[in-house]
Amino acid sequence: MTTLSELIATRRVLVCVGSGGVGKTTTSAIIGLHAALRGRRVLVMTIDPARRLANSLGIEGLDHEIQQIDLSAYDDLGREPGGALWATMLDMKSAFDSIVDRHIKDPAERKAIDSNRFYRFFSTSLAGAQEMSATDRLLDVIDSGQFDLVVLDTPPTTNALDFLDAPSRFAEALDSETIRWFIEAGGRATRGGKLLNVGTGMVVRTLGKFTGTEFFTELGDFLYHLNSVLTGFNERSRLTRSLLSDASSAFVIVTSPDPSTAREAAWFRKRLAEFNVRLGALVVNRVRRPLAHEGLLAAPVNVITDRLLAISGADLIGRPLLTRIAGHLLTNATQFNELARRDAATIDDLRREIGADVHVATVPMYAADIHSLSGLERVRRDLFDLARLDDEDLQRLARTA
Amino acid sequence: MPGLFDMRFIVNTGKGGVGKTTMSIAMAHAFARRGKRVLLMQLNAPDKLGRLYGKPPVGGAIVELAPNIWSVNPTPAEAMREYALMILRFSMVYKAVFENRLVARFLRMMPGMPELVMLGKAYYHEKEEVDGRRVWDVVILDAPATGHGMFLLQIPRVISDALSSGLMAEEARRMLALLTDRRRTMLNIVTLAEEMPVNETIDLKRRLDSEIGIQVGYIIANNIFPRLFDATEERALTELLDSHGTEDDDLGSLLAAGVFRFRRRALQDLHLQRLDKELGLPLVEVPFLFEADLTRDGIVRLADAFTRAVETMEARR
Repeated sequence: MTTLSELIATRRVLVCVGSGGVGKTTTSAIIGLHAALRGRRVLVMTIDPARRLANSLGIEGLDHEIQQIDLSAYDDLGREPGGALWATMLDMKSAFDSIVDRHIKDPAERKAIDSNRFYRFFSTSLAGAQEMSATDRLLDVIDSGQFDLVVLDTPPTTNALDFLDAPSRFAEALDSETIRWFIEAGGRATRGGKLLNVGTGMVVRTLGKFTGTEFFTELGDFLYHLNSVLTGFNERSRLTRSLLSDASSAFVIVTSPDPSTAREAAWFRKRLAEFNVRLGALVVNRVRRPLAHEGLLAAPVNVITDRLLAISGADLIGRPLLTRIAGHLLTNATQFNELARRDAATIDDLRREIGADVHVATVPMYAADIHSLSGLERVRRDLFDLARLDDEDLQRLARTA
Repeated sequence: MPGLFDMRFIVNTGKGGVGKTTMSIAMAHAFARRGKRVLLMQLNAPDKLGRLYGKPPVGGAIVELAPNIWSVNPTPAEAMREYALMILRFSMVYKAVFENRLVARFLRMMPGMPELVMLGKAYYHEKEEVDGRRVWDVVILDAPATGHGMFLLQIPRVISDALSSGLMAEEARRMLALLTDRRRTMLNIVTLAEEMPVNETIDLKRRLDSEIGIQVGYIIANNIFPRLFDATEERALTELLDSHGTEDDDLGSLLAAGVFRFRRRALQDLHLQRLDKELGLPLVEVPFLFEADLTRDGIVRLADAFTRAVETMEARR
């Protein structure tokens, strides 16, 4: 079994996937941070970090630009030399624009595309365009040779693996045969003298009844201009697939111990195998741990009350109040222990389904938000099984933050 | 002013992982208890409901989950077929056109097409009549998470702006009329009392107002820890843990678990206050269930809590 620490030390690409709301972005950031502290040059490509997550890493906010993160706060916390951390945000809104910019250099052509109604309405949401743009950037940063490791946070879609699927679906849907057909159907080819055959004519008329004829003209126009972009796509998409299925890449499934989220994680595992990519590790966030000592749970309320009375000092807190507190403490501990048992059972099931060869790392649920430098450090230590933060560590972090 | 239970078309959305489906089915129970016939429509989601009701996963066919509660979960291809057949009427024409290899391939990735036909299906069910009687009293749409959900709701406007003629444009205009009808339609945002879901909720509400014009009814805050300790007890508890000095023995771990509980709740309160301050919309707090897994019984209790909160708020208006 390769542990998460070993993955971080040896891989070139780590892709974090998982359902929405499981802490994927924070986990990606911490994985990147840890690798940098271990001496690697790391880029984290993220989707939309919480402002406070960005702030706790010492940056104001994140955009398309690649920003370096100052790691000096970690100088006394076991930082190894040579490492550095950068972060960038995948701008999903202008995803398609950046693809078009890359492939179309002729200003007149670019202008024609910009004025196409189809492009204007759908460029931000064309199925697969965002994923295409993300993988496009991934190839770029890998090619730049600047980084030892790229950690990629993926968009939270219903089907979190759209990320792998979409570029090829996109390429398939818009192969040259389909495009030619629609360009012809839109009327461009007929202007050039070639007539549609009878069958195609019927199909176009019927579809036209459904969509309106102007739809076809606009669409044909759109595809005509985009032809060269789309041809470039196919090659990039093939390169991305081979990069992601290479032994130097691994996927990390991020999940929570919520039973339905865990079921989705098990399902991701199957889908990853279908895509021929490697599952490196599974991270389970927000795990509730059972009470270290369950003995008191069976005790009657007055036993707890007596114990509380013994520590309450100079009788500042009266017995009635302590009795109420004791009762609530028992209710609370019983409820949380029930959840902790559930979490443990869910994680056991997950381990069985995922297989013994995949490292399952767990991170506890905390009482406070983890969006501070010391919060992140706490998670990093729990995730990578390092010694817990002591008071001295906390003071060091407070001094440098 | 019509309330939630007067609505005929309900859209529930929110950030991924906040419990939209759970809230949608709880809401379905709340309607069903009032004798209403409910269709809960999911949009090509990995189905969680079939399992919960001891049935096979809900797919393209409408199935009854509980008395008066029905559900459907079509793929875009199924919705497209149903929709195109309704318009074209002849299945031979449908086959020749929509199952044409190139057309099918293209329609699959055509921007907005899956969303349009799915929304079209929901729209059709809202109107559906047999022998002059409505088939459904209410259609609840368990919409996709924020970004995609927003795109789904924008589609009718985008299409009606882009196209001046054709069946698609006419349909889009009718859907737009339904979405913006405050007597029939209400959207609710489901959230957790945590930083990112609250940020998304605030942002989503503003975008819904400026870009869609749909009525936003309730903010539903899910998984709120029921309060166990009052302020005096909280203070005393903190002192007790302090004077005990350790979390590592039996009493210490019991005290620490109590402190953990009220600190998490205090954190939730901060985020609830932020929601209230930024949006000023009716806010329903749905309790966290201390249970191993969601069960039908749990859903009924959520439905109770939800109904009570809504009734109290609407009575005050």
